[in-house]
Amino acid sequence: MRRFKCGVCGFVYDEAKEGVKWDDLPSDWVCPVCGAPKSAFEEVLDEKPASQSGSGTSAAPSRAGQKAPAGSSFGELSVLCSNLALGCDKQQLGREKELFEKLAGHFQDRAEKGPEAEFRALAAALDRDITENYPAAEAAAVSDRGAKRVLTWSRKVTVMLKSLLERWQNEGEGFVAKTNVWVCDICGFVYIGDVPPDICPVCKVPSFKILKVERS
Amino acid sequence: MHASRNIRLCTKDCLCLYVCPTGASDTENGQIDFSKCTACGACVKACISHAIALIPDKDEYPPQQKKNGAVVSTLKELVRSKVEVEEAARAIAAASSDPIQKQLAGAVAKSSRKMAEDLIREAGYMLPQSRNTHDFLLSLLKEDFGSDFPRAAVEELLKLLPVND
Repeated sequence: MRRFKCGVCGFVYDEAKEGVKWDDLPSDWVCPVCGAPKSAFEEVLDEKPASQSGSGTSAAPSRAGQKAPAGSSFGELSVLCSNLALGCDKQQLGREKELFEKLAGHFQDRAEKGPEAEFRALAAALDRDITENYPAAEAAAVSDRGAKRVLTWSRKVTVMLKSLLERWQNEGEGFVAKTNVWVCDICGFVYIGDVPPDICPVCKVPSFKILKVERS
Repeated sequence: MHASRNIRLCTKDCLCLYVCPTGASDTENGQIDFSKCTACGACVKACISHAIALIPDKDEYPPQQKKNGAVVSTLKELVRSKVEVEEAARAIAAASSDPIQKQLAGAVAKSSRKMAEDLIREAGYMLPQSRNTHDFLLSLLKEDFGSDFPRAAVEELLKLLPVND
């Protein structure tokens, strides 16, 4: 009997308990907790491959990143400003929040209009994050708890996004058509379903922070 | 410090009004009038639904955690990637005539923005009061972004935000 673990929420599919072999599950089967598709699962192997590459990058001088991000795109400037607006909002600094939002909006209006890509091209970019950018960042972040936290959350969300775009390619829009689309306002987790989960499967925030994306 | 009410938890038992020595907790918008609050803590102790906390004033936050260079550069690489996906998803949403595709593309754009914000936050931009934020704002004033750039917003932020590291 084999077991498979969801890469997004951690749910374990145990063939012994479920009575249905993993391979016999239909290709459009999704995780009962978070809605991730089969492709987001990995087999749980009893013998843990010791892949601890403890090559923690040595601490660089801590003034790195002190300078403003020279050469940043307008999109990146917008993200930096909208993040600082959130930081002000958390501290209940209303005026400061408003000003950062104004800057974020200004930069977003000037941001690149992305090439008219298809979902397929987006899936490729997400895949590059999963296979290259996350492993590199995780290796650098071994002793930085906050960085590890954001990398764990956003890698899971990235896996979810990639899976959804793959479903779109394989199944068409049927899995979205008759239900709702939700985005967690804290970590970005995307959920397809009538009602959002009680807590976000990725960041554990209560459901009132998981917001509906309306269909125009 | 000043008192702040979590409006989601407040059950309107109003003991805060009875104990507040300045009337700061009795407002029409549900929040405490921060300018009247003396941080005596009486409302925090009296509130039976634990809806009030004392939170720091903006010049009372400690410096944010220092970040090492490799962490910053690898996180920023991910921010770049998330921004690209956000922009591409926006373009799909704008170009598509299918409302369902627009909706999913909109969700991908929003999700990517959330991730990018969180990643840049951990790359040294957690606190608006940080030196990093201050330097960033100063750098915006040095750039020539054209006449419609809201310079006044940057100047006002530099005045409003103390620098704590």
